[in-house]
Amino acid sequence: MHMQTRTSAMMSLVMALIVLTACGAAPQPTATPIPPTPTQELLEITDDLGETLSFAQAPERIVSLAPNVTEILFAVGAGDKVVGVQDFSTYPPEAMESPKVGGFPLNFELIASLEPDLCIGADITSPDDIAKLEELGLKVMVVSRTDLEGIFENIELVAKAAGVEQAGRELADSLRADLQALEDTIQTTQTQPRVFVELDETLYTVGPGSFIHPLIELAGGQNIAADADNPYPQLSAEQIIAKDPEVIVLADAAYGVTPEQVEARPGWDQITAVKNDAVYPIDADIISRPGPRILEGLKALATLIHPEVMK
Amino acid sequence: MRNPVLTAAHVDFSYYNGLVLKDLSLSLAGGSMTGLIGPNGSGKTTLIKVLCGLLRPKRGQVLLHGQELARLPRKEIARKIAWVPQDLVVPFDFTAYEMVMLGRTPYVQHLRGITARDRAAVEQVLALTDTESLAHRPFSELSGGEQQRVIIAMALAQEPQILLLDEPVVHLDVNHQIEVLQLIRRLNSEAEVTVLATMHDLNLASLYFDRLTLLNRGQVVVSGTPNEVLSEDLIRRVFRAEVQVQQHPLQAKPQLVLLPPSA
Amino acid sequence: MNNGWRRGAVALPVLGLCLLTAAVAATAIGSVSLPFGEVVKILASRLLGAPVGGPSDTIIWQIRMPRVVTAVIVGGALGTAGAVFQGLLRNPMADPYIIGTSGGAALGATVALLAPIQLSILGFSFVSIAAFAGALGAVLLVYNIGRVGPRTPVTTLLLTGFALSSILAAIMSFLMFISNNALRRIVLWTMGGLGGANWTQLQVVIPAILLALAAVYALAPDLNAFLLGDEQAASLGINVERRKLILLGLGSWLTAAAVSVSGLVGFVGLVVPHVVRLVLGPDHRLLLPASTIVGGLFLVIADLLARSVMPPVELPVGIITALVGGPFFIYLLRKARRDYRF
Repeated sequence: MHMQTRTSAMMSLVMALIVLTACGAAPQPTATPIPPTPTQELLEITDDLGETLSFAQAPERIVSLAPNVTEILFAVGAGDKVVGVQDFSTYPPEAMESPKVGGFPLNFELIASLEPDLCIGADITSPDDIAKLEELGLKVMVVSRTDLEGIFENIELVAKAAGVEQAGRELADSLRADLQALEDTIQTTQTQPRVFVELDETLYTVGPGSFIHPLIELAGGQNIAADADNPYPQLSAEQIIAKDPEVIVLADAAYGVTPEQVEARPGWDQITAVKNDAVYPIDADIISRPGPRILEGLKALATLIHPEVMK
Repeated sequence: MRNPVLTAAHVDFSYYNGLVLKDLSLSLAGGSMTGLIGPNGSGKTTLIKVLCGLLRPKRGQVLLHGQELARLPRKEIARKIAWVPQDLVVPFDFTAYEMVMLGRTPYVQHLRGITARDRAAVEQVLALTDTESLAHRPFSELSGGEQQRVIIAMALAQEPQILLLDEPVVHLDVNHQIEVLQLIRRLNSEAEVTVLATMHDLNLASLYFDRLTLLNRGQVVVSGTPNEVLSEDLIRRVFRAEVQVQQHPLQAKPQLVLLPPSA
Repeated sequence: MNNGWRRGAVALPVLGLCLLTAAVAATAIGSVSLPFGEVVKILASRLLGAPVGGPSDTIIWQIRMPRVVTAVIVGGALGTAGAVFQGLLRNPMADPYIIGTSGGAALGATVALLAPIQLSILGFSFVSIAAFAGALGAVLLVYNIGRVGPRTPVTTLLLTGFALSSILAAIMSFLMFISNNALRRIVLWTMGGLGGANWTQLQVVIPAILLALAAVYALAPDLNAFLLGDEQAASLGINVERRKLILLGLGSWLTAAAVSVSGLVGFVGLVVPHVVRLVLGPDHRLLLPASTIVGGLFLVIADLLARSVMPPVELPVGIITALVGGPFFIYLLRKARRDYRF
């Protein structure tokens, strides 16, 4: 879900940016009149859309509009402030106890009725939805970066908005350290095995421009679809056999695709990965959500691709 | 009756409710040419179908050469009795030859296919029905009379002893009517085929059939020569029409002249 | 029958040759370009029992060849089944799916795709087996519901088939609606595809279909007689109800076998017999074997197109058969200017 809408979401965001710039400054949300106390600082957040939001005090009621945002909020210890989560927020388990505010489409009535101080959206949130929420008088911030450093900065930003800036910084730094350690480990490898990541039984995979593609390289592998001309190309069985991947990662395992099934496909028994039993299921969420588990996902990929250096 | 070949004995038949044939008994002598006449709804078509085994009587039997029709295998019946239906819908593009060849179905073995014997039989009936020249033309392009002759040829390809025809000439122009009836009579006299045909046209029936059987409401009213059967009295009673019986100027056969009610 | 035999003696070998050519072409063409010489070498080495090995050999022998052979056998089965149903039901609009096989197969496949059962028997997936069972089950149901006393009139069969198909389609739609993950797989299955073709499966499918075809060919004279109507066929000595049941059974068996392997490939069973009839005439003794060959030819070409139109994407073959078959059929109808009577 996350990935399929990514391309169109990206385009929408770009258009939104153009429109916003053309119209001049976006209308500022009217702040509720609170008599300012001299000791209190205004909290100001500038999100990835360039919008600046101000809060007299840190938001206490937050609605998450995307699964990765939910993960971030809970990971930085702001889980108790979460009053509503998007339908597919499956992690952590505590998140499932919060009210579900819809998927595609969002349940605007429900969100409004929860009276949140802040809604946080991500790259999958459409500008239409953002506009609609703002029309309802709600504050919306968007964290939409999908490169690794961007994810870490998003974690810090969200933590800041939730009033737990310190926790955010600590988490981001620990992730940065993990990433560095991983990169160092991968540096020591001698090979770059050919990897095929299967998104779907009909042989959709990840290409340049997709979220997962650079992760494969980071994990020390070589995507067999690196020469594709779109982020989510569909391959044929013939092409996969010809490219002969050494590792096959099943991101569609959640839909019931098993290594046994894959190995039984006609002609696939000649593929190196199948001959060496290097066909592995993976939890698609940890490699497709720009959130705190991304290092877990990277490490999982690296373990599959370079078991010899990962313990 | 000398040599009865096909007999219906005390036959009752109904489609849903109500008897269409009631305790009907009828016998065809070998080599005879009988016309079955009667008003619409009298059961003529039903009787024909019962006689060739397409319908099973509720009561009574049909006997072919003394054997119960119900106990004979379909194929065997088809080699002895041929049925020419009233309206044969031919929704496909066979040639006349191919149609006639279908009449060999009772003889064709599945694994052997069509034999020289089959081809010879077809040639023979084409000659008999004078349809050789039509053989390789599409059936759909033939005239009404030609089509009917081909259909009769198809029936003859079954090499039947008995030919049952349902209204063989009712849709044809008068010249074709004569053509077909001449053919049937020739088959009866030369090839010794026993013929039973339902006829709508009483005058034609009188001219071409040795015997007539009059049916009304599922029962036989009378059976005999045309002179015996076609009386003004009977016509009035069964058909409710006023006619005058006259003799045909050239043949010793009765012809009916209609007497419409005076205006 | 002189014309007919001559036509057959020429037509069948010519058609067979076309089929062979198409099959070779389909093996040589695919999303991975292999030079023709290499293709020939690999085929020869396999036929001589000394396989060369390597990815090209795998592609040709494990992917393309089973696919092409499956296309031939499935297309042949559907083409012949279509001719059987059209003759038996005396309806030019009849196709192999008309008395419920498609509804039953689709429902069977849907249930199997939703059920978390992974099974493989003799190369057949659980979906294939369920589709096969669903197809035959539906026909049995239609035949029994459509019976009026000892007979099963043709119109009743048609109407009952339509009614049952509608009911099964409604159930299937409901299942699709409440499913989430399997939806795409279900839809793809209904569009037909030869992607799962493999030799193990073919070892069962080929004899199953060939035997049924042989039986159907032997009954060709009966089908000819059936064209005249049930009563006329009976008067010609055919045991109508028994033969009808056998022919329905054979036609359904062919359809079920085809559908279990390739999903619902439409149009082959409808168009192929008509095309053959337009050129070679309606005699089933020629029509049936010719429909087998032309059906296979049609599907091989359609599958080749499905793989080549948007490489490397493989379109569901049912889309191609409809897009190609439809206009071609219209063209032929207009060409046969004479009042084309079925």
